[in-house]
Amino acid sequence: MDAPGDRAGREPERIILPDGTAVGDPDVGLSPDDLRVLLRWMVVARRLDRECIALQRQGELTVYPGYEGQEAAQIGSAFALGPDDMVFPTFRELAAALVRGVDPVRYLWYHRGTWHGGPYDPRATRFGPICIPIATQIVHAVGYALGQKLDATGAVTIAYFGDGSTSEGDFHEGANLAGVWKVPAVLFCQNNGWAISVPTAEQTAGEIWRRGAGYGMPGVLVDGNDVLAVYRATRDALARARAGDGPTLIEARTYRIGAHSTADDPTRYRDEAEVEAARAADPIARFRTWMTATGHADEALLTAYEAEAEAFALGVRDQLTAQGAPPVEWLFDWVYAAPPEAFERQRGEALG
Amino acid sequence: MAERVFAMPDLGEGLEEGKIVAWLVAEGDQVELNQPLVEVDTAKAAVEIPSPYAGRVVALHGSVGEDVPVGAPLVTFLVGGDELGDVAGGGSPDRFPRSLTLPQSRWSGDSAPGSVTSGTPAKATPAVRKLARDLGVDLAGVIATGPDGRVVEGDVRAAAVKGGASEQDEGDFERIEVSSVRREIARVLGEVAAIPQVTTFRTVDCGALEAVRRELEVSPLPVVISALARTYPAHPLLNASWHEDEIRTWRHLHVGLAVDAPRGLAVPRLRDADTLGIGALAEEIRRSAEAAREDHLSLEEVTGPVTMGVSNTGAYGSEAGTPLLTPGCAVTIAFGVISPRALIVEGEVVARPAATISLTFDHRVLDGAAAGRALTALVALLQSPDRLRDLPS
Amino acid sequence: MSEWTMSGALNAALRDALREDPRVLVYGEDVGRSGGVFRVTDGLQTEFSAQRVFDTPISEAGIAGTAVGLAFAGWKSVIEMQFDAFSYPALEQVIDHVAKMRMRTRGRVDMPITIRIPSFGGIKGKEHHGESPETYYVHTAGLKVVVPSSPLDAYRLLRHAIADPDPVVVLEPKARYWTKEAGELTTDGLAIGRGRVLRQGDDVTVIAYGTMVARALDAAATVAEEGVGVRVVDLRSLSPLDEDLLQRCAEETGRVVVVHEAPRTLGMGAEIAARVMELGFDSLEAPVARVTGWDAPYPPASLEQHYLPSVERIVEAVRATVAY
Repeated sequence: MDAPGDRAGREPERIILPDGTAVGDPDVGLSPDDLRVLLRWMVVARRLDRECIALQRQGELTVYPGYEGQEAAQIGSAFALGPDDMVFPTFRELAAALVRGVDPVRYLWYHRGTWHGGPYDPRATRFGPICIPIATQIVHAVGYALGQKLDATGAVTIAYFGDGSTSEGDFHEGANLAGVWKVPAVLFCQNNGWAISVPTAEQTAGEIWRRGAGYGMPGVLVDGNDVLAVYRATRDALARARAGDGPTLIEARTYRIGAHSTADDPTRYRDEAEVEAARAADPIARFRTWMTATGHADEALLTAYEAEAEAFALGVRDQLTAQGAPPVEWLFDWVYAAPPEAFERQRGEALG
Repeated sequence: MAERVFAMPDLGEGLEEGKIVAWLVAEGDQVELNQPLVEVDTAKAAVEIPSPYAGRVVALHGSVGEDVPVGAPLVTFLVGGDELGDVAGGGSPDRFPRSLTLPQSRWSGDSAPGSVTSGTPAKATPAVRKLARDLGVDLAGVIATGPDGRVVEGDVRAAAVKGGASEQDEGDFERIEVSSVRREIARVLGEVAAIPQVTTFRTVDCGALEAVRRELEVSPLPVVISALARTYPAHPLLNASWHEDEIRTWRHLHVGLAVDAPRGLAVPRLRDADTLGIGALAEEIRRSAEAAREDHLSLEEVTGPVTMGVSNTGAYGSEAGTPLLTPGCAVTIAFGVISPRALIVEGEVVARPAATISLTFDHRVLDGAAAGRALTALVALLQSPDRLRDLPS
Repeated sequence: MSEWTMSGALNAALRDALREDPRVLVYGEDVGRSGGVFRVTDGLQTEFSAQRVFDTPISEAGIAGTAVGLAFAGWKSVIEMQFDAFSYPALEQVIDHVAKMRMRTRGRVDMPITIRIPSFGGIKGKEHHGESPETYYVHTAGLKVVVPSSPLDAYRLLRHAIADPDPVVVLEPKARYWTKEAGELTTDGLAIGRGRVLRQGDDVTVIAYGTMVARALDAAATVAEEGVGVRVVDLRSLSPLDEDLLQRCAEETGRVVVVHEAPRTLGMGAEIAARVMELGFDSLEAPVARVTGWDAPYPPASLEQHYLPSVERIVEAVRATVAY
């Protein structure tokens, strides 16, 4: 029995099928230029992800968590955000970070071991620090959204998290608080099928989008590999929040094509057949097919995008590999706004 | 074009090595950036490593089945052309880290327990220990009247006033701290003193020496060294050393010149003194002495092998002495002060400038006769103006 | 001259902070409508509206984590963890984020968060209502930790904590909420990072904080009758510690006794002993003594008095240290 407020039945919301044909109304309020930007971002993101894995294999990054397969989920949703909206990500949202204008080199400092979660300015970029402790960023997002509500800015906050996060207490506390305080937030779950080696079926017995009802908010199920459907669902949720109607829980079903991270070997726990099947539902392939079929893009444009993505990735490589070790002083800078004397003495002791 | 060595990366969170499963390129191959290079088996997974450069493969380091440690060379590339830029570690505007220094321990560890008499350390609180240090009182000898056999403040003060119950006269001496250099010298000389060595003396009429040295505008020492260089080929044991049951005679003369340095005796090395003329020798001696005085001797100067020791003891007025062997040498010669003496020349007593050569020899290498013969030859040369002038200047 | 209870002084501090800085928020469980289980937030919601003073669901991690998000949005949260042990569900948010966010963002996002926690024992409370959690917070780099012992100083410390751009944990000794002190409330005086000498003496120093300060003073009075000069220090600030004061006490008295409710192992006594040793080893006439709770879980009410450092235990330790 669907609870009131649920928008979805059993099937995820979908506009573009895996084979590239449209099943829903593809007019989601985006211009042809916007559509091309979406495709361009996805191509760049895919290429960058591959470069990052290579960089890790070459010893330039310590451990890197890839997002291949999730480009539409991240880019479609991030693209819907307004300039004042805020993102609280996990550690896998590099594609969303690109759309928000975060410098990928600075973002990747994190995976190079140069600096922790926020080497870029989270306030300027409206993109929170990379967050490792699972689901904790959801609560931050809710607090930030409350702050926006108190200031009546009209801005909305989106929290990204995975299927694994929904088992953590902070997901529950964050979602509950979001509903009780009716904050302008979007809780965006990328259900990519796996939490390291644990499949979603073993992560939670119920469906994630259905929990929205439990928290007094709409629960939306969307095909996370369909960039237009993702964009639309996010756009609608943002509009609801902006109108003062409170938060929305979105479950975007996608697939983690790669390993959990470069330190993980997925052949130990999942079938290649499953991965192949997932590739058949690739978000970029289907969108590319649809774009060329509808005349929004052609081969020349695609080639140009791929060349641009290549150059982009190599540019990131060049800058990243030139990055040396950070100064030792960074151990002590920024810990306190008002450093205590004993702390300063210890800094002196450590730095000689 | 430049060679770049790609080392085995840490492929995952602290791995120590990777086993080469298969090479995917060969030496000489031209490869593209990220082209698959090699398959490596780590403790966790099998991993394909892509090429970090575009260029030519010059060398593959490691064969199939071999374990390559993280950080060891894996592939050498020849990378071409325009913008090489700095890779991994250079070129960025960020500063490089200074090394972290550990804090100095605040305890100087003096008044160490386990001292002489009783074998058990004196019991005292930190404050009392400090007082004892400040007053120069040795806790080991202080009679304790505190609880649990502890030395208390009053005990220390009493000991300080009385001059203490300890064995030595406290406060009767000044301590001069010994530098590490001096400690090392002491250690080495202790070893040298164990060698059976004998000193023999010879008087030299320095008339010829003085005349020639004034002509050349040098001090006597370079002339003496040049004479030694001329003498040892016929008396090879002069320039030799004892080496674990064999005697080594050296082809070249490397003089260990004893000079006075601020931190103690220094022995800079005059390399290949047998190939230098008197002028060059004089310059080298001057330079070494100055460097030693200013503590500027290079590592090479103080650590290279020496084959003969020479000491210009005359420079500070010594007439004769029993120099200790310079480590590694069978012979050390001290040249005493040149001063007027009464000598018998052709039956007459005349005042002549003269000096005493003190030659210490390693008795395992030379005996008295050999040393005597060598000295005779040296003195004959030093006393002959023609032969002295024949020395290379 | 006004007389203040500690609860009343804290209430006044919150009121004044809310008044002076429109970005200050106060929230937690039962702090709004009912004014807090110890009445520390009494009347605040009425005066400042439910926008700024509000109740939350039972959600400690949520309370702490939303304070982080609110800080991103430029708000200064004064949150309450209702009791010491109930702060533990929030530890992950506090340790991973409250303490580290400023460093992580390279100084761009401050965490001007104040975490108020009614703490310590002595009220015959139920299980988990008498804990001493200070070590967890003091050990977390990036936090500051203060513990008032009297009403006027509670006002001062809480005002300073709220004004501090860094996150401050305020451990309020609930057994002292109803003690009274006469005087004017002011923020003037010792800042965070400074301890205060409550009783002068040159033979031995007794260092305490929170509820134990009163017992330390009682013990000092007893031993003073024996002709011993006992100095009593109220630490006030556990992180940062007043190192200058510790050094002075070591040098001037040569004998130190630390008193705390928390279990002995890795309690503040261990840290103070280490620092006293580092700063004043040569002055020490006796080992630093620690009078503490036992290394056992906090007991039921009927055994509480055998767990907490009693005046007698403190007196014994002071005498032993003096006689060493």
